[in-house]
Amino acid sequence: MVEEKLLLDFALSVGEVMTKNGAETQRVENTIEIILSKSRYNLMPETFVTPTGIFASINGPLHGTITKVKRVDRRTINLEKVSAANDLSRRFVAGEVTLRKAFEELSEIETRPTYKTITMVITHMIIVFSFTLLFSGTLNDALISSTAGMVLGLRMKIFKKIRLASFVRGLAASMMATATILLWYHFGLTDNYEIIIVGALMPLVPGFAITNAAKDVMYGDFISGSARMLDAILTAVFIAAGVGIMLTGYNYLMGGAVL
Amino acid sequence: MTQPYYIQFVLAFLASLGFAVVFNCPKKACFTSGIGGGFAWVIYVYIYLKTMNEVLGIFVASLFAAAFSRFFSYRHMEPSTVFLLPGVIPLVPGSTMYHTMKGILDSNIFETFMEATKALKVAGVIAIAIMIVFVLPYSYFAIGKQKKPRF
Repeated sequence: MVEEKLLLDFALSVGEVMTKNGAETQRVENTIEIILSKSRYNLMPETFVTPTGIFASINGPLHGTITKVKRVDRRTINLEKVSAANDLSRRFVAGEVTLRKAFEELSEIETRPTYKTITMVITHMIIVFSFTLLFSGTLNDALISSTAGMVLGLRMKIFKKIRLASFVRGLAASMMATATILLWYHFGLTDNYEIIIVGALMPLVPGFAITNAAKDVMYGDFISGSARMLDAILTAVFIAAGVGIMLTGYNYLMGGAVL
Repeated sequence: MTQPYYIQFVLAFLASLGFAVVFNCPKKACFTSGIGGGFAWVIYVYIYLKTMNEVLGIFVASLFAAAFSRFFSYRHMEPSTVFLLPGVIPLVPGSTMYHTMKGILDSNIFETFMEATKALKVAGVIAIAIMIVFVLPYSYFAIGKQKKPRF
């Protein structure tokens, strides 16, 4: 009986790590059910996963029904952790790791460090630089937009400490990027700020939410799918609002005839 | 979109590689997903310039990115999102979003409506392309031999 409870604990913890770091609903449900099928008994596992919470119940012969609920908050995107947790569950089911070892490994996965801030800053600069060139900006535009990318890379460090809703983060980030670009524009270093802003917005667009929403809806997980779709729409609206606020503010300060 | 294709490929590759790093993809998969993103972008630009139909280009490029991700998720034994996400992100309608907002700011109803419709169309087409590829059975993509898992 103890063993079954531990197994349920483990399955839910794996599910939590995967959901938290951006796995699709169907993958999490499958993983939990496969882990629970590892028991000696037929536990008849049932799971229900949404992006904000995980429910799982088992029905063993020695005890009644056990149901556990786990609330998931602070979602980020870290596909390496998803992949590692997935791998761990596979090896656990194949019998290569014991339950105790698997728990240890899971907590190692959970606390695995992400990239350093400097790597993130350089990556954002490269992303924004390439997109500005792809949207037919000049080299000058690309260099200017990569300073906005620098700001976007630094924001990840700042937002790690402050707890904000993800939409407010998007709003703040797009305002910061637009402000940087408008500063250059103000000093006359560039003329076509539009292309630069569009390039600098690319790291913020809700591509992840769109892809995952599509997958979830396709697998029939309508609750997760519509939740993610709402996330995508709201993120897009807030990012656009951030740019709009900054542009209007600049226009207002400069007397209304600049943009 | 005016540069030669190989330059665009390199730029899109860099951008997708950057996204792979931002989303913390497993280190071994980053390079492959960057390549996928580069090809998806080149396909999009090629079809767009041939037919002047942006939505069709996005559709075919997303189909390619989704098929690519499923094939390599089989080969590398990684979740397919790892390869799908960096490939699809360059196609997401970032500039239409901006122009929608610009139209709202200028009280230009025509531009707002046109760009908003385009953004919805593009996002919907990406979703549909992903669904079409992911509905196919897994065995269609199980071609060639699988790389050994890391352990």
